[in-house]
Amino acid sequence: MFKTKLIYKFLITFLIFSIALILPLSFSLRKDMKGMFTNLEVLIEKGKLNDARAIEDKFFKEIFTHLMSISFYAFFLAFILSIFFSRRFLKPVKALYNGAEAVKGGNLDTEIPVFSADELGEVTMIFNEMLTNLRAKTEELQNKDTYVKTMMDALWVVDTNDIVIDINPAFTKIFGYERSQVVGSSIYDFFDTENAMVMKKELDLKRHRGEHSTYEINITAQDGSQIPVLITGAPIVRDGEVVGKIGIIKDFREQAKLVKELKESRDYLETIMNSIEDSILIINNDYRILKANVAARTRYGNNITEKKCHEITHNSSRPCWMEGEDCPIQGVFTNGGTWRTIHEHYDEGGNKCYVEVIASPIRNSEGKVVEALEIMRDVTERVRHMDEISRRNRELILLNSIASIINQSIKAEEIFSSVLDRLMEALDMDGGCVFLIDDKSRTLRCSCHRGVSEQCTSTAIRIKLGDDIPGRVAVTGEVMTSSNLSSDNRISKSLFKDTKIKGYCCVPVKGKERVLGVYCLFKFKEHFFTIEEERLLEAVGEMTGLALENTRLYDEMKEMFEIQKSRRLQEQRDLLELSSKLTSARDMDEVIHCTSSLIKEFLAADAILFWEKRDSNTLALRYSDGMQPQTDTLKMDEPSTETYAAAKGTYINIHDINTDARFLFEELKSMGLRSILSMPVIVGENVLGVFTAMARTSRGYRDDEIHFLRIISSIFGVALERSQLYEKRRIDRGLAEAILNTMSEGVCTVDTKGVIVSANRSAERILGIQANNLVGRNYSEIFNAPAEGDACPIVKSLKGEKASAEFIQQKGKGEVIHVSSLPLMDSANRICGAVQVFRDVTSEREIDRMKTDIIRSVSHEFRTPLSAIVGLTEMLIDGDIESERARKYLLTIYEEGMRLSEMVSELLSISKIESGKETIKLSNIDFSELIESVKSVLDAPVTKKNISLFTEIDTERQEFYGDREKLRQLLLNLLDNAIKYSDPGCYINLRVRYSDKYVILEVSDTGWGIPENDMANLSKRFYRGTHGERTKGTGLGLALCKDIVRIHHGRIDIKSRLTKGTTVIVTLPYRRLNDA
Amino acid sequence: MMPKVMVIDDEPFILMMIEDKLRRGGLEVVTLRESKGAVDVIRREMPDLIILDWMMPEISGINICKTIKTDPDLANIPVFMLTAKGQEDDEKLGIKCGVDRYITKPFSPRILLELVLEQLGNK
Repeated sequence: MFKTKLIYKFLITFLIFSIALILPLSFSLRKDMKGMFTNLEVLIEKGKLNDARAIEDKFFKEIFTHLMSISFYAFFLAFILSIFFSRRFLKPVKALYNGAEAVKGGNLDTEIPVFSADELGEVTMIFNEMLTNLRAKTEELQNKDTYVKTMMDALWVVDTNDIVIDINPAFTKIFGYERSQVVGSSIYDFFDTENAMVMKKELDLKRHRGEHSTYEINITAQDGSQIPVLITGAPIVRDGEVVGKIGIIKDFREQAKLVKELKESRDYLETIMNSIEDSILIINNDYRILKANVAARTRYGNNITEKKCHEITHNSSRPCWMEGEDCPIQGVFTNGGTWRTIHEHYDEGGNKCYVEVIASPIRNSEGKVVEALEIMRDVTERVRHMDEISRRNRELILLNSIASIINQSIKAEEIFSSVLDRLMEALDMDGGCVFLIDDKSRTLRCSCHRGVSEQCTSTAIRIKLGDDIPGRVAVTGEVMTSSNLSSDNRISKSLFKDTKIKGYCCVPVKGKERVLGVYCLFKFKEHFFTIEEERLLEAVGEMTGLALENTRLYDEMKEMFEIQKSRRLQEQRDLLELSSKLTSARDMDEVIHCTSSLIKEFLAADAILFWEKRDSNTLALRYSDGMQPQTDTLKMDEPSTETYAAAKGTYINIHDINTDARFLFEELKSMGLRSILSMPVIVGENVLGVFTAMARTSRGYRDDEIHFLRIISSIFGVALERSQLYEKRRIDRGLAEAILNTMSEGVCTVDTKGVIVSANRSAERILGIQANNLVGRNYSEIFNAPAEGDACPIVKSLKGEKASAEFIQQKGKGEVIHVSSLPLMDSANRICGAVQVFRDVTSEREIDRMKTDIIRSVSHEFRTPLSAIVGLTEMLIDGDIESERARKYLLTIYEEGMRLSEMVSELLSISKIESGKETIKLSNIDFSELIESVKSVLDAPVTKKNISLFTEIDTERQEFYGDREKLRQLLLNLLDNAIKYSDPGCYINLRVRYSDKYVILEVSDTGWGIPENDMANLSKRFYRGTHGERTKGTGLGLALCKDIVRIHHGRIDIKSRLTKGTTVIVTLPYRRLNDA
Repeated sequence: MMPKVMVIDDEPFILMMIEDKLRRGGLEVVTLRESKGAVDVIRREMPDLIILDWMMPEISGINICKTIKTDPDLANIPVFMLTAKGQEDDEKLGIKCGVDRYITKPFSPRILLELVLEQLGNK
């Protein structure tokens, strides 16, 4: 771009100036010159100027004048132009000047305007650019200054002589020194001697290298305290030359504290880790050990760090998981949880050991598992113990199962078979057999076997004692084992040698004192029997041996028990038989005979005697069998076994009378008897007699025999005493019973519990129960509670009161029984029961009831006719009735009076029939005539109720004798009932039929019918039934009918359905005239 | 207007006797020999007092009484039970069924009239 250079401006200015000045001057000069020259010529011609001098003078004069005017003009022009141009040049210069002044005053924000595009303009622009740069720089510097000032860390700047040039405010803040105190001082003034040396050394070392350096040091603060700091120093290099240093001083107090704490905690952790006896490893995910505690180092070597964990623990180049073990480290890194396992490890010496490993994750701040902490505890001992325990446990289980087999079974075969199975299972054997010693043949007999062929056992079925291995073991009682039978030199010959059996063991089955048999166990592979196994087998052998002995003992015991049992049973049977005979027997001689025979049989005696004690001084012979003594009485002072036993109250047994000198046995000896036993029969303290049993052999008696004999004699004694008492009482009671049984009242006694003790014949009769069914039962089973709800008189009597009540016997026909009861007193005046006297008062009560019924009914039925009589009479008397009506009144009184009379007659008829006073007046009955007579009476009600009454009489009439009046009454009553208990317009049918044996009168109606619950009571006197509410009547009609039929030896049947009607069928047998 | 007494009994002489006595006592008397349909007659006649026999064919007096006493239109009519049933229990049952006066047969027509008048007077 073309720029108007200042030179061009000057040139143009000069050109303008020149043109404006030279051109007019030249023109005016030429014109003037020309004029002058013209004048000169003229002068010359005129010769005025002859003189050259004059002409020259003139010329110069003229030029001068001209030049003078031109100069003046030129100056003027120059002045105008200079003013114009100087203004143009001065404006930018002035602006520049002002700008420079402003910058000098510190104002960097000035912007100088550019007025022209010339050099001045450019200078102005450059100046402006300069200002912009300066501003940026200044800003940058200011920022840097701010940073320095606001730095948290202290900062100092030192020169090459280590004199502090500058510090930042943080320095003052941290160390307390003011800037003025620091600037100009040597840096060494701020350190104590020791730190100053460190500082110096540090600076000297790093200075010549011109390097950065960081070091920890203590600076002495103004208050004298040592402040730990971290100084980062850097050289200040200018033009390739170090001119000073700048040091950033970090207050390291907090960090120092933290570092200290960290160190402490690390130490602490390390101490803890090292004090733990378990090995602790910290392992990274590459299975590399980062850290190990002392225990781990002791166990696995000092240089384990950086090795891989499986190398040191498993002696393997591969992690344990690759070898099929649970790797807890792998678990921690894959799943993050805590893992626990027991590993087989190898210690430094290469010994196998068991280690319990617990691995837990170590996480970084992000929660990521970065390392694993593995704690390893040597549990070798524990594992070994556990193995031992589990082995023992297995043994115990085995022994226990064997014990339970032994406990559950009492069969030797079963026990050995099961035990063999268990042993084979427990010791992992292929087979085995059990041999038991047969004492008779001195051989071993195979009891059971497993895993060997039948053939083998059949040849081995009998092994002589001392032969082969089992035979030897049976003799020595020592266990024999062989890990390989075929190559065992100890055994030269054996049944088992040729088999494929290799591992072999033979164990004795030991009883308490001797060997009872052997166990053999074998395996088709080689098997080394450990000492534990041998011991176990030995124990099993002993256990089963004892069990075998026990089973044998049990069998023996069982046999013995069976014998004893059958013996006891026999004894019991004998006793029971005796006891039942004693209780049932009334005849004492029979009792004595039974007992004596039993004793004789039981003791297998040859003779038996029973001596009864007559009085305190005499024994009388009551029974003898097998021998007959010469005397039948013995005085108590005579010396004999009987008197001895009676006097002492104890038995005496002489095994052999030939060797006994106490008693005289001449008579017995002569009979060939040798032993004697006398047993007293004692009840309470009384001796009632003596049994003597004798045998032809010498013998004593066992305790149980004596015991049995004692029991028999006791039972017998009781029976004997009872029989004596019974005899006495029988006579006493005879009289009392005779009196009681002749009484008409029932007499019955109860004990204090209310149990009936006795009842007389009248009691049997009244109660309808046999005396033997009464005695022993509780009175409450026989007598019901009294009707009035009173306490039973027996209850009262048992409390000492006298009482009476009436019972209704519900089990019988409802008889009413009157009971009076009195307490029974014993000799000590205590209540020992009650006696009750009772009578059957049923008929009395029935009569009472009938009386009441009749009175009630009569009074009721009589009321209506009486109303007429009383009421109408009263009105007549009162004069209420006019004379023409009085007749009607009187007629009614008469009719009702007659009705009363009729009722009285009916009642009388019944009472006559019932009392048996009424006699039957027989006549030949013509039912047609009889019915017509009845119908005429009933005409009025039949017409009134519009009833259709039909009669039907068999035409083939037969001769029938009966009481005409009573039969008329019967038909009248039956028809009256049919009319009375029917609705108007009903049908009544009366039918008379003659059959072979009977005349049948049948009255049927279509009336109301009889409710079912009334049927049972229909013929009771005064019973009116449900329909009685609606009808009038005496309730005597049907009762009278029943009585009439009864005296004709007939029967009456009533069939009825409610709302349908009733049929009454009277069946009367034919009777002859002279039948009374 | 004369008070109206209704007498229901199956014995004609009782009806005759009571009718005569009450008429003499200045009362209007309606007699009925049958218990069947008696309640309808009562509804129609609306007597001031009813004399009932207990034991009648068809419907017993006590059931008629019960019907009257449970019918709100008739319950206010006094009922005299004139019966041969003289037991105490019978009387109790009668009173329980709403009988206003229980009179046992035989009875005095004079006293009956007095009782009827007294009952009507009270009303």
